[in-house]
Amino acid sequence: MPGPAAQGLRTSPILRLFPGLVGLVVILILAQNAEEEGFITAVFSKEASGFTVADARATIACAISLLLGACLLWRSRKTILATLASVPFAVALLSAIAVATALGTFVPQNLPPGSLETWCGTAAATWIDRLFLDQTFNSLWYGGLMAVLVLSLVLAIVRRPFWRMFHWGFFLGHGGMVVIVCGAVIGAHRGMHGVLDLHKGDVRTQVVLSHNGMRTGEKMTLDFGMKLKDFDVERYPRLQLYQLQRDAEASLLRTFKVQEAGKWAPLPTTDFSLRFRYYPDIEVSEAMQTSTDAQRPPAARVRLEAGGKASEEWLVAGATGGDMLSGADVDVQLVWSDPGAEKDTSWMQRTVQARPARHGIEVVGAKARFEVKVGETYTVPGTQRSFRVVQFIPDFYYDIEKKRGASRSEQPNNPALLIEEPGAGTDGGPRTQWLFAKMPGHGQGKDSLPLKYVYFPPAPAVANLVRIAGRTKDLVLASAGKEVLRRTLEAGTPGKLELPGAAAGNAAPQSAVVTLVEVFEHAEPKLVTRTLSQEPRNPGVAVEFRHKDEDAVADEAVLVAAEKEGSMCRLPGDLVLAFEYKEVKAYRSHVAVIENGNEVKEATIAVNAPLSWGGYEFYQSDWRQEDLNFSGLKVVRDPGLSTVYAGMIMVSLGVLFVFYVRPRLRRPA
Amino acid sequence: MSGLSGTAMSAGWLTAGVGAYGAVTVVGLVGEVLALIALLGGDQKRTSHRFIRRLAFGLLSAAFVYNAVMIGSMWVELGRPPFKTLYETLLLYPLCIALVSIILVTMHRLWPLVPFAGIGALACLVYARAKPDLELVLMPPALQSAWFVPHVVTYFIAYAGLFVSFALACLALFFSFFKTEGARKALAAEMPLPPKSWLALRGGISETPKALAAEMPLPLEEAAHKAVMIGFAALTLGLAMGAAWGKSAWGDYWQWDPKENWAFITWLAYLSYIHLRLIGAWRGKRALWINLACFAAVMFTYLGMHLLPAASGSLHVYQ
Repeated sequence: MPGPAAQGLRTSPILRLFPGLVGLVVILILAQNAEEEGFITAVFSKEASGFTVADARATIACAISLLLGACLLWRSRKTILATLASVPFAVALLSAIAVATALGTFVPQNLPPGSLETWCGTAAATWIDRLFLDQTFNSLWYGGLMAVLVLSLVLAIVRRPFWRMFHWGFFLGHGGMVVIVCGAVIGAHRGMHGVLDLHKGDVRTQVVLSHNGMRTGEKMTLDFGMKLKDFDVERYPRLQLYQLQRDAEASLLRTFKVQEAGKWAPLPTTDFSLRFRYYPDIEVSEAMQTSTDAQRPPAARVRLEAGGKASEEWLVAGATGGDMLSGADVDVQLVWSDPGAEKDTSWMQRTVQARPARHGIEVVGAKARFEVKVGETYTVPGTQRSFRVVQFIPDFYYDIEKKRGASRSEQPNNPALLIEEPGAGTDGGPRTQWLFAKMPGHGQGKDSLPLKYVYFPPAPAVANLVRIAGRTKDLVLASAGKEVLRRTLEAGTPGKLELPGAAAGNAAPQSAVVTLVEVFEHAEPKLVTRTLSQEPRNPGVAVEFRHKDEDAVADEAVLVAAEKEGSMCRLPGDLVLAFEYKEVKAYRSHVAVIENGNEVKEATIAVNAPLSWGGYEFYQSDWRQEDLNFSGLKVVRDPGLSTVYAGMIMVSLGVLFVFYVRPRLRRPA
Repeated sequence: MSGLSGTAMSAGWLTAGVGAYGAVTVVGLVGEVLALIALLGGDQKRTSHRFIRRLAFGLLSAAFVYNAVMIGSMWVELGRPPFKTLYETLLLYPLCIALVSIILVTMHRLWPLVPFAGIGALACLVYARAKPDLELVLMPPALQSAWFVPHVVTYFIAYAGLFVSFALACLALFFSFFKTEGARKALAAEMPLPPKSWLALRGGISETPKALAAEMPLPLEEAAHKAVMIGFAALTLGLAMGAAWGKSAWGDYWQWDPKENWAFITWLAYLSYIHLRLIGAWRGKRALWINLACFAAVMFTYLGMHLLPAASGSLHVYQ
């Protein structure tokens, strides 16, 4: 029980206790400074050199004062113990720790050498260094205050009768604090912190130790290896609307969240609204839709199942024979066909002999496509202009010496077609123009013909050729130059042509099924956007715009985050719509634990999802934007952790008990 | 503003919230003024303030529900808990203030608290209205944790309890200027403490022990202490949850991060206050002043972190 001296202290001013605490702090600061100067080491180490007479005197003086101090403390031990366990002391100590902690937050902590001087100047830095304010929470004086706190708590605890329920809250609260500090001390002395730098494929066993988040350079070897199998970064997709400012800056007007996809949302400052769909793994492909434009070619969606594989494609019919759908030893071709042409069986020759290269011409804007031959003259549909095809070069390059186009090889690496327009030259003669199959639009001048060159490479002979006549819906199979099988579908119904291998009569009989899924007399291309998977491999959005007074879609755009140019589009009113996939949502390391050369455990480590193995915890802590094969793990061993948690639970329960249970209990006499 | 904002509620929602808490404040203040007139005049027959006070309490409950709906709709809209940015917490704080006030008024019939709750909530919403989030704020990996909601909500309940305590301390200090014995007795009679059971509240009659009633403004000081108890208990739980979260996210339960340190300082400050009240001489006005000083630490922890040199890069700092 508290003695009479303690009773007296209860009412004594708390302020009187502060000088003692300040004195303690000063002594500890001096002690740590002396330690850093090497003084204490010099006193206690036999090998130390340069131990002077002055040092010896100082040591003796210190020893005597310590002895005297100890005597004084012993004489008034009862008063001291009572004071340490008293409430006023608790108040003084708690406020002192609060002030000390606050000081630690006003000065940047654990800076690399030299940074403190740039922060506050040399003079202030010297004092901060002497007072250890730049490492407050690791300093001896801060630790000393904590030690006094523990001492005070222990003294307060032992003076109470713990068997009385009335005091349980007190014990839990105060004891919990002691337990937390004990756990922290255990963790600091018996635990370890380190970093493990992993590269994809590597197995690492060595951990670089760290202190206060900085590497010490020391290394430690684990009993097992850690292998980084894969590392992935997931980001947040978002559609941002910016307004361009005069000073070339852009200000954010609105963010469209992925959750908003599918709903019309107004575009601020305009009369338009937009709607978008999000595709985590976007693929934009061309499909066909029916067209009212009579110049558009016919097209059909055809499915071919042959040799165990199925493929489905849009075939466009054309004078060139149109597109081909190939599978195993069957090719499929589409024509629209008119009754006269149907009697022509020359196409069946493809099953006997190879097809030479062919040249197609598309008129930009007029949507017409026709086949051309070298030496012939053609009229551009819908115009009075005509042109002659002069030359074909399979692998074009420009010969500077001879000042003319030439071919590097016979391979069609860069097919080019030279055409000339009679009477269009500056001198009244023909004007020449190169068309490149791989670079549409290249070399087009203001007056040049708006033509696009489509190159159809030579094709070897095909064993079986199915020709679909779109208009009559005849599916005809030719093999070895002859018609083998024919099926006419009823108008408007999709159907199949089954090709039994034997009926085909070819060398390697294989059954195949050709299905005419859809057919349009006039078809125009439309873009079909879809996602290949639900994994965010290539995120993109398809955006539609409409005017506020109209229901029809006025315009559309596809924005793909990975494409620098294609991730944004300009809108009227100095607006820019940008699809961004930058902000990190998660980063994960897929690792394997290796013991004796075997993978014994596979795990994914992410922030908030560490891996525990062999007494260590592995945390996702570092990654590099520029090297996604790298992952930095933090390795921690903390034997004091459960003690700390137990202490926290004790303190929490203690507080609740003191506040809400104790008032209902009868205070013991 | 509407349509131009990122995560912010449309201004209309906030304006309605401001209106709701504004009504709480005005009606509550009218009720308190009427109560004061009735009590100081010693006229026991005047009972109009009773109705007005209950009306203000009803409005506070309605504002609480509206506030909850506001946060709920934002949660749905964002697809994540809306407790990340300063703006978002400025919507959560009023909700917690209203909640703690409703609990305390129901338990201890602290009617004068109602307009204060209104003022506090109003201040938050007006501030929020002035600082909407323009950008869509996303959750960085560290915040994607099951601890996020309990940690933040517990802390805001703590801050709300401590705000309520601050308000009661201000009120107690204000009343301590009234020197007449009659006024003190009359005021004390309306402030029944210690707590009544729920059944006793239904009767609407105070059964205050005369000894306590005579001690004005101590009953209010005790009420302030009750609020500190709520706040401090929540601070303790929030701190412990934060430690557990820090461990799972970064590998350390304590990182000496500025916000952690200031949470610790706030905790120590209120712990000092609680110990101080154990010393008889410090109860009453002195404890009230200390209470006010402690709330300054709360506000600094909440809003002042960006002023500290070590704050850059901390996940705790509202940018």
